[in-house]
Amino acid sequence: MGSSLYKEVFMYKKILVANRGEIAIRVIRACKELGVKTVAVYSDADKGSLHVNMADEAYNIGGPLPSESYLIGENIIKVAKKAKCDGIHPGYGFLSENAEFAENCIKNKIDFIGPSAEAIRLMGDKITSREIAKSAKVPLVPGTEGEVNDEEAVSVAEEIGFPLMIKASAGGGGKGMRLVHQMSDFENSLKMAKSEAKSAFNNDAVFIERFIQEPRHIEIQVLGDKKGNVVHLFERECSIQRRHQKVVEEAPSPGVSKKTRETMGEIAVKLAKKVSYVGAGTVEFIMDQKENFYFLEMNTRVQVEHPITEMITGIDIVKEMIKVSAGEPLSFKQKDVSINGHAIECRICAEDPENNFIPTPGTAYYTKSPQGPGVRDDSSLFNGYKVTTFYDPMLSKLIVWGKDRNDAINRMARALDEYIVLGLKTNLGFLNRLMREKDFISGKLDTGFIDKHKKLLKTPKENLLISSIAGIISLHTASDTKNIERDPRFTPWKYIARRSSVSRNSMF
Amino acid sequence: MKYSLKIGKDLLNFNLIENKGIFTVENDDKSFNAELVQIDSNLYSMILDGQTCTIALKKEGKLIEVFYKGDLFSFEIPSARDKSSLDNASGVDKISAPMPGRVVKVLKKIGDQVSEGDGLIIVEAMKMESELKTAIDGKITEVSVKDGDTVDLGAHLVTVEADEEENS
Repeated sequence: MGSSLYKEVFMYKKILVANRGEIAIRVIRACKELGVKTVAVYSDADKGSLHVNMADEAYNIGGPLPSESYLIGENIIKVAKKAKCDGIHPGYGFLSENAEFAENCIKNKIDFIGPSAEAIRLMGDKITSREIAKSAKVPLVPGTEGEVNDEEAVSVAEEIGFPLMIKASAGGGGKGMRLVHQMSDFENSLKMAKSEAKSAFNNDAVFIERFIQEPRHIEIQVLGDKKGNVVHLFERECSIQRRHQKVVEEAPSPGVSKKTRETMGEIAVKLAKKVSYVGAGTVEFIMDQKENFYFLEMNTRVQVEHPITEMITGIDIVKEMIKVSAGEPLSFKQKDVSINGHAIECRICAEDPENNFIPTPGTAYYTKSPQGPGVRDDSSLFNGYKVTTFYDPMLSKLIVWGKDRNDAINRMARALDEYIVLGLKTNLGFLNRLMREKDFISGKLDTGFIDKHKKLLKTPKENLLISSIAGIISLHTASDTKNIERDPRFTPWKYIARRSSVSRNSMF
Repeated sequence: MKYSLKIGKDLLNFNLIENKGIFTVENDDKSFNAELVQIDSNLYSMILDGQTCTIALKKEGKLIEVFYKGDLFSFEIPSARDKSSLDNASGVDKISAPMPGRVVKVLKKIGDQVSEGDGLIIVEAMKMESELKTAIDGKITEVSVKDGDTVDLGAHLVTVEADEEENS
């Protein structure tokens, strides 16, 4: 009788995680909580990494360059077969959006935990994904499909609206490109763009597209199962970017109204259903300051910034991916999900904000991660962690939850204050200043935010002064400390006790 | 006691007076009271005029690396020679590779006049391009690489020498 209460469901026995760093750790954690064994793969450079240590089994797959290890699908599948895995989770990057790899997994009777190879292929191609989006009535940036001829140009421009951009069809590098703000400038600009295109590319064909001013990057998280159910988990705003890459993400967006949220969500679900989407996916939009939004692309994998959606919905996206891939239906319906509070993620990277965000490889000699209420640190760091030039310089993702946006910002600022990375330059100081910047706090964001707030990149003189004072005191006490450290009976506690008793005496 | 720390091209001078574990630190015309308490292998609590600061610190040979509020500063303990040459403001800017990578483009050639902040060379590493800039006004006197070269960490790239007039 009792046993009939439990539905027998298939679950994987052992999953190979075809990735490294924090996302490999994230997937391993989900597997452990589901009672699934895990297999890590690692390159020669990653033998001492946390993801290797945390998995149940680990196998070397080659040299430090991704092209010698993490990108060779064939070898990864070989390891999975040898270790008797029944599923492969690709994480993000590397092979996660490689349709051929997904296909080869299935051919070898191992589940690829993600969408079908066909869905990856369709959404991965810029032109076909735009066609599918168009057929699903997903808004695209208004513009001419192809070349525009002189006779129709004016009426087309009127229809598209201003400001608009004239672009050379054969273009690149800004040549033959013209930003036009009003009709009275249009014909002249068209002439100039065409002649520029002619001389630069020997081809005067141009097309016209609406120019989105102060664009925001808004994306919708979707989840689909093998029964054809797709739900969305609301939006994330990822407008704080450097080098066209995200650094700070938040959910929900301070610029999206309830009505826009609903419309965007419905559209994203419709698009995902068009390709029978299974697993976690993200539909990315570009949005202007008046909440007009247009389709950019669909990412057919788990996203770096998925934790902020987990924090506001209470749904474990990675576990859901694994469960739906195993054939379970989604455990909730659209009406069951709602937004609770606000979440922010900061990507902590080994890079130098003062020097154009150039990566700063080296050793994170001493590190300390923030703690306390509402803080989550998805990190691959430890004392002695080496940042090499082979992989992305991201060290960790610091995620906080707050009851509203202000609460979350204050919490992030507090958590960043507690974060310590000694040994290499990071963007921690920049993020710390960003959380206290009034334009960020007011929520008026666009993808040009960092360029407009360059002062945040500079280390304040005060920080230099305080650091140098600590430096010279340590220099002065160096010989003193060395003597204490040689004493085998020395413990830091004794040292602290002695110091504080000295300071008490002298203070009062 | 007098102490100096070098950071980049700047020299910071301090006078330090110790009184039972509390320090009076003088820098320019400012004076601070400071205590530094060790709480972990590289972690310190500093009390500066009553304000607490969390500091991480590592000393290695002539280098002191200090982390405070997300920013990292690499100080060098200057030698006597450093002090005298720094006082006269260094007239040579030798640009070297900040990490192993590839030269995308050399932007200047020998003899070119450049001013502080001008880009000299674009290098690529970890799939990212960076423009390296000069910190002084002067003339390009040496270019050791060409477009497409692979360079190791610290490899010399370009040298800028300050104009004679400015130095004197």
